[in-house]
Amino acid sequence: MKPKKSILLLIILMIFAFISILIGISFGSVDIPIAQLGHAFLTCKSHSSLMCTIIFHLRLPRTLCAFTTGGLLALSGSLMQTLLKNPLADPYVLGISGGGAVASLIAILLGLGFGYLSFYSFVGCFLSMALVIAFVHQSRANSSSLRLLLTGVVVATGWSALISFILTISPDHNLRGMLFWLMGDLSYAHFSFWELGILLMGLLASLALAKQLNILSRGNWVAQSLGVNTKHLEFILYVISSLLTSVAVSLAGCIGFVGLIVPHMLRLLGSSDHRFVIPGSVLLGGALLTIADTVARSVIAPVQLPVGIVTALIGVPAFLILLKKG
Amino acid sequence: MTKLIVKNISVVIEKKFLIGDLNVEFSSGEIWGILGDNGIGKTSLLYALAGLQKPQKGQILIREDEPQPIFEKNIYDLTIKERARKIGLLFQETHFEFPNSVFDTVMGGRYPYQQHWFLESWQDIEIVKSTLKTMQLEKIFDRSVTQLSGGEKQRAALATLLVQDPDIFLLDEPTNHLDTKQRLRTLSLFQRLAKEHHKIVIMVLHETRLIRKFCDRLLKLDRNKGRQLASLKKIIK
Repeated sequence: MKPKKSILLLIILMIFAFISILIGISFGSVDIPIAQLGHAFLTCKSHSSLMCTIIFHLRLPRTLCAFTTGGLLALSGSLMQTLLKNPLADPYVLGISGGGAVASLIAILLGLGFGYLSFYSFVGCFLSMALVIAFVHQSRANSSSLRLLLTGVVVATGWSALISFILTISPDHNLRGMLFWLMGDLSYAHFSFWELGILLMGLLASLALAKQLNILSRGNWVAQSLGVNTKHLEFILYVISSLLTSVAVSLAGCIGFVGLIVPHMLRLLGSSDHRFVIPGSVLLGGALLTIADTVARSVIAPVQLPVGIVTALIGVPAFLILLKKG
Repeated sequence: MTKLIVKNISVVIEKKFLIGDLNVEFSSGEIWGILGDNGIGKTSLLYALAGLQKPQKGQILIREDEPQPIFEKNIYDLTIKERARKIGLLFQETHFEFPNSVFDTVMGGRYPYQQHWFLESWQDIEIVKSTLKTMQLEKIFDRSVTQLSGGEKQRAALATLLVQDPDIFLLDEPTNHLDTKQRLRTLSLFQRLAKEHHKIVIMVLHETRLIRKFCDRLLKLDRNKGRQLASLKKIIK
């Protein structure tokens, strides 16, 4: 694709992302007209009001949290798809989220406190990632994609059996919280800047690898014959995408679909060039999840839906339409 | 003058000797044809020569006596990028999983030379453009490689190899999926690269007619009682 077209598309995505954040702040159980947001940003420094509390203590952190999670998932998904040379891969395919889920469910079951849930799930994700690496590490250089995929899928299956087991033995009053976590839920998410920082670092690191990723997507043998050290690159890629997934899972549980379809939407829109897909994923993934979260908390307010349901309900038809047109 | 010196290599895959104690020297300007039955180890030999699969025994050396001083190194001691500048391989089959454009795909061949971490230089863009013309792909430069026909995919792979511009071209059935006219065009292109630009061309071909027409030397792989025999021949025209 011509560079001009990708730059134009990225600018449009940036505007879309900005609008999604405005929508996220403006809509909810109390609507704040977008026109008043500018006024609020200027006056809230000097005197506080209910509106300021809603904007700065509730909506803004929640919206940023949704945006960050969406960006993390979509970026991780696009890296996973290249790593596994499989357009069907998503951030969860290698079982990383399963480890996080088991750790969080155990924490809920034992009553270890919702406040530390993201810590437990991060530890769980990390353990799962280490487990997969340990198994794949001894493999020969070039069967590694398939081997990684198989190992990851089997580990994921193991985790999901454990998840079912925990759900079976859990008392009823814990089940609701567990199911929400499993479906992906932002209502308990706490935003902090280190998550955004990880997203930015992941973005920069993958941009630095973008050219090599373009070549890697043609297969390991071809990439090696063109001068890419596939063994190193795959390891780095696995670590980056796993870390991104772990942070996303620890923020909001297993929100499906964003990581799978956003990279495809971008490929259908423009090109598979990673220099476009990587920044595009962060912007589009963030924007879509922000909008989905706004819908999730306002459509039957004050009851909040798990955002994972909304991403699937909006994402499936949107993607099918795009697929038919593309 | 570049030489690729194969010293006593053996490639064993799953306890089967695919290549046993092979000795051969390839020099610049030569076009070699590799002939042999299916499964005898032709592709494995090319992978070993390309630096992709290290032989269990023996050495593969690359020697250049120009520019001075003489450069001689085991190809497995070169960095991956250095090796990609010296040796290029056309794979037997070309698969594309992701919808990159033809232009971007062919640009991949310039990777071993690129300095900038993010952008391509104007020279690289010019090289790709002119190579697309040579391979008659200039009209479909913007099309996704997943939508190409078999012959177009093969030409895109050939164009990638041409912009990679190695000293040693390894071609695994370069005529695959090409029509008669394209076959002759492609093979005469490599003939010109060997004769005028002093490249080494080593190709696996099944048609003895084409080998006789384009190659000067023949490496025939045969098997006798499980042991592999290689015979070297000069083709007299």
